[in-house]
Amino acid sequence: MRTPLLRIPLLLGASIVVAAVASSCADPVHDALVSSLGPENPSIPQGEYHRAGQPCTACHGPEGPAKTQFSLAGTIFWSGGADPNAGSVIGANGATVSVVDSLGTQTQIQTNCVGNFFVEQGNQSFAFPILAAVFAGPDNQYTARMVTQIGRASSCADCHTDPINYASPGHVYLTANAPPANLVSQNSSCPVDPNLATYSVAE
Amino acid sequence: MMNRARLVGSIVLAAAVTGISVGLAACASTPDPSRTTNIYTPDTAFAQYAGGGANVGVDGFIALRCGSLDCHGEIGRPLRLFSQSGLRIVDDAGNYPGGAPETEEEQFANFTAAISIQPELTSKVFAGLYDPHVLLLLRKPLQLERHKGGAVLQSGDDGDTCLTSWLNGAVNYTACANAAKIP
Repeated sequence: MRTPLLRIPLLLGASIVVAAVASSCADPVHDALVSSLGPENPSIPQGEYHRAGQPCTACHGPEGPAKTQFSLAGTIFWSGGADPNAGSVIGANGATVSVVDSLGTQTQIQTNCVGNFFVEQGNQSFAFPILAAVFAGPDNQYTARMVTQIGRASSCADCHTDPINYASPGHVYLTANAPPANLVSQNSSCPVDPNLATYSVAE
Repeated sequence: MMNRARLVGSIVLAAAVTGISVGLAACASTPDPSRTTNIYTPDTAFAQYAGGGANVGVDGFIALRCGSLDCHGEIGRPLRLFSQSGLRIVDDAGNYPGGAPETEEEQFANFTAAISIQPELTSKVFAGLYDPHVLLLLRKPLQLERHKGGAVLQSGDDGDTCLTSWLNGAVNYTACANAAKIP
């Protein structure tokens, strides 16, 4: 039979162990990153069209909280705008993202109507570093090639945040000029508005 | 009953002594802000690092190949590198990735980053006392030490030759130019 005096240090020890184990499971940096993305836009349901321009694999990565995990994902926008600091907000529908990984595997991915693209981890993984380019329009008249290789980032917006600053070239965009009106209009069948400027909660 | 009470007392005392010991061991001395570490390099070390004119120096290679925004172009990373396509120094110029060419200030910051990873050992390598491959600057990209970016150089390739020749005092600009090419 144990006396109350003996139970106190045992309970104390057990509490310390439980607290230590529980705290070691959390990643405050990842939690802060996920929190920094803010709430869902109420006008766009969760799914392939949501959170355009945000770092997809912050949530769709190994640490969650999203259920699906992406090996590569991002958003392509039409225009950088005349003023590079103004950013770009209209997603590029049907653009082709072309990727070559360090093993020489070539992959082409199509963007959806808000400019989002993603590759699920279960379908394909990439051997980093990778090279990337984006094409769109008739005869691929709109082309953007990355000057540098991608060392490890699995989301465009890990680096391509908006607006442009000393540590970001801004969103990935296809032309520095005004968006091509005839191609942008093809987005009219999109279930959500691909123009982020429409939303008050956008980004 | 008395023996159990003593046992509990002993456990608590032992835990307290252990805790205090661990706590004391964890305490470090107060940092001395006046302490400096000298790094000795040849007079031409920065000029060879930076290159210029038709010569692509070490910087032309490592700033492009290692300094992407998701690798060594990330703030807070060891061997932080600035480059035209990556991280920019924040100043009145307001440069951004993909904008104006890399500035001399950025090149010098990169040079400082490269030689200060292991300052004492780097001085000895420049003095010819050690093979350059003792340095993390080479051991990491060659994956002789764990490198999160993997084996980005192979022994004897242009990147290895560029860095090794620079650390040996006579940079091989051709190797640096070849290493600066992204396939």
